[in-house]
Amino acid sequence: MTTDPIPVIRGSALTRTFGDGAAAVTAVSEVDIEVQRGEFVAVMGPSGCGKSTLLHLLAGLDPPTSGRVMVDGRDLADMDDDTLTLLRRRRIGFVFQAFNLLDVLTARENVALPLELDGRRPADADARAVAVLERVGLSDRLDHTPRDLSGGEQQRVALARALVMEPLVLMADEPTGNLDTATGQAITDLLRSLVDDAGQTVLMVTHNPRHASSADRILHMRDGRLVDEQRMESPRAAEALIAELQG
Amino acid sequence: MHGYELKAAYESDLAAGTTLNAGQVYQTLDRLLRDGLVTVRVVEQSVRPDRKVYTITDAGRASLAEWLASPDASPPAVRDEMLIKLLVARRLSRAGVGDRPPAACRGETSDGARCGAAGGGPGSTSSAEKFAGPNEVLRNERRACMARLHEINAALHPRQAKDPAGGDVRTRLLLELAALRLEAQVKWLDRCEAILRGEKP
Repeated sequence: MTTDPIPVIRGSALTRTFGDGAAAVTAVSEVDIEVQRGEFVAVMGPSGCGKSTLLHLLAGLDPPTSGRVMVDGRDLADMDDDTLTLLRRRRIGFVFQAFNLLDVLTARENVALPLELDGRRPADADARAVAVLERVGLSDRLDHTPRDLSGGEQQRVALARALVMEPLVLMADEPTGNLDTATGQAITDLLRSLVDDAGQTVLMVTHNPRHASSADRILHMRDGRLVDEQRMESPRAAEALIAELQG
Repeated sequence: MHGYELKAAYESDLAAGTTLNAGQVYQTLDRLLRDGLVTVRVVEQSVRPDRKVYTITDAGRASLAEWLASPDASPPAVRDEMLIKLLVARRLSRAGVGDRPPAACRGETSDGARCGAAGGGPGSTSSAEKFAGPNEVLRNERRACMARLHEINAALHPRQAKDPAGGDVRTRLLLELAALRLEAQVKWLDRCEAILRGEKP
């Protein structure tokens, strides 16, 4: 890298306090964080360490008590509500632990919804939704409603909905938290392949070590602070690893 | 089967890429013979030396059945190297010679470690040799586990390989075993951190 490109996400001295006076709780404290284009970053830490709050601050879902959030070089604090809404809709894809799909809509309708809210023609929105559902492996579940889908499938629909606007960054808050081990791993593998194959930028919050280890960079959070950062090296050839594991 | 066939079967099916000592194979067969679990007959060969062909007995079959059906729920060794390391670090730290600042603060920034890291108490001075404190020990182990997990994930899902290492069942089982043990280790490290943090200084 010769010049530092503008990070997709930059948080500077981010602090978020809930309540005031003696009852005040500081969930996020003086956090500096940057995510570059095409990076897969995982924030790890135990329950209550502030990692979800941090993600919400970076997504513009919650304003920081102090500090700044820049998305693609633009300060969220300088935006009026309409601009912020548009930014969240078009530039930031967000996936929740609890999927948050609309029960009365089919998979393709759930995924097409952000496009229609953004004023695209329904036929175009539907075609695009179908294409993205295919990308997440759900071409045979297009017309199912969430209640007829497994947890893993619902999370894939939620991922498709987050991806359909081709966001600058995909943010995932414990995306595997409601899923069993194998299903959760499949979701993480899907995120990994979006990064590898499509250059998608992903910022994921998790407490699962194995899912976090899929990322290129891991940030460890404790008591509202980032306490360690680990950049993953390129893996060795699988043969070398297997030989070592067999001792 | 004769000894060489057994050796080849072990190496290809159970532990690919490793070699079994021939002496160990014949020693084991002798013991099985002594215990009546196999019988042996000598097959004369015209060109090569005679071969010993082993056959499992009813007692051997019963022994195999029992071995297969019995659980291997032995707990991992409690004399764990990491546990010892952690306890030594804790002792040194309490004696006032541990808890050196983390790597980044010592000018070793290549791995991106941060100064605000959990190690490095405020009172630490550089007057004497300082050792890694419990937090640094935990952090280093966690990093090593995460790096290894990253490699295992990559081996199971290589980017473009047509036939990923995870394609053969034996390798997949091995990689899953390693991944789950590493995951358990990381969770244990987190527990250690929480428990040590709750201690009165």
